[in-house]
Amino acid sequence: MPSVTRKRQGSRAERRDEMRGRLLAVVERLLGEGESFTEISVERLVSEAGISRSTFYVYFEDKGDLLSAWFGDITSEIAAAAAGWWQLGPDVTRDAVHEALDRVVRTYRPHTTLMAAMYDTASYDAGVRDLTDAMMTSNVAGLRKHIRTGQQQGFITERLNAEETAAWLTWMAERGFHRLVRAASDEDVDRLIDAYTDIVWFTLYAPAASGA
Amino acid sequence: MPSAAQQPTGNRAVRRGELRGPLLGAIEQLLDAGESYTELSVERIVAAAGVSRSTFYVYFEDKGDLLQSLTEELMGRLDELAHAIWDLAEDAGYADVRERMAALVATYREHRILMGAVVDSAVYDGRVGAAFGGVLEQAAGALAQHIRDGQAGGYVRSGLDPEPISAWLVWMTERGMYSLVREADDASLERHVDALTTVVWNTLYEGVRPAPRPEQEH
Repeated sequence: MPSVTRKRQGSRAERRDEMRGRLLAVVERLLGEGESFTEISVERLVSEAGISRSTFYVYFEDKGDLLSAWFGDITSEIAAAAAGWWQLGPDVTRDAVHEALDRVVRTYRPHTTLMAAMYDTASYDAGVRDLTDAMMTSNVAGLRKHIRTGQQQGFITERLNAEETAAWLTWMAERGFHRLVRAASDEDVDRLIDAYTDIVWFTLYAPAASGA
Repeated sequence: MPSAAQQPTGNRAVRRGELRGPLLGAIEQLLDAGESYTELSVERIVAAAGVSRSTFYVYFEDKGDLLQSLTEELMGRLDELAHAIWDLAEDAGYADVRERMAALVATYREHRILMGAVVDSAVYDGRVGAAFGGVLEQAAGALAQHIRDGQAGGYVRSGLDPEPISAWLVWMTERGMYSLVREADDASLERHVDALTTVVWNTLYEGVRPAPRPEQEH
């Protein structure tokens, strides 16, 4: 039985979530129409979402705050998908890599528009940049660790720098997801995942598999 | 391009070209001191360059127009340097690819302040964004053509899907240059060139081109 107090807290949190959902839907639609997050004012956002300006500021500090609240949820979802890739071991095959990367891309795909807005905002908003930097750092570290493990166990080629290669491949994914996957049809997404798999497979695993 | 009605265009273009040098110097100096291009006003740029505001507006529409004019030449050079990688002889080895990749990376790094301004402005300035997007699309098109030619000629791995492979690799290069190369010191720069070359070499050529890959420090 919820108490009166808990019920009130629950409805406040629910109200915030509901508002966040409505505001983000507006952001996503406007971005989809080619506007940049930078140019969308809070005034416009609240009016299109049917929320008053003062209500907005009860729940969110600013536009960046609206995005960062959502970012935390998505980051952990993506980290869980990426862990499936980094758990691959000595019996790794191209099919296994394909399956793992397919999951990463499909987890990310519904969020590409807003994620792209996060990364755009990061170029001028230090608070947002801290969030995206932390996400990149954690993704690079995860892949670097996987590469080092693979090199020790012999299923990833030794002839590459784990640190720098992890960084380039992670930046490739970040930009590719935002610029390529975001705009792609279902069929094109399949081709993109296939190509992404080829690049990762031939860069890291194939030279070791062929005994090179 | 220039119509008869725009006869003075020739002189105007020359004058525009002459103004580029001092304006670029002023911008690089201001940005190097920690300012962001986004926040720089035309007033401050012209003051630092010793150019009058009214002269600036005779030759440039605004800051975005200036940036585009400054970067046209640089983009052309980067494009040539990228082509030089794909134009290597069929039997070129890892060291050849690395050498040309290093030249591309070095030129980007030399102009990292300007390139940073372009990428940052592309976010909010539609014209800069479109121009930069066009450069990258062209780069991806050239790489896709190289992959197709190489597959037909037997010096690029068969089975790779040219368009998506080139799109991923071009975006990797753009983002890595912006995020990694701009910040790199001399030692880590060499390692970044190794990593970039390795991804490209292993994906396109490893086991396909005859030259063996040398051992690499890591």
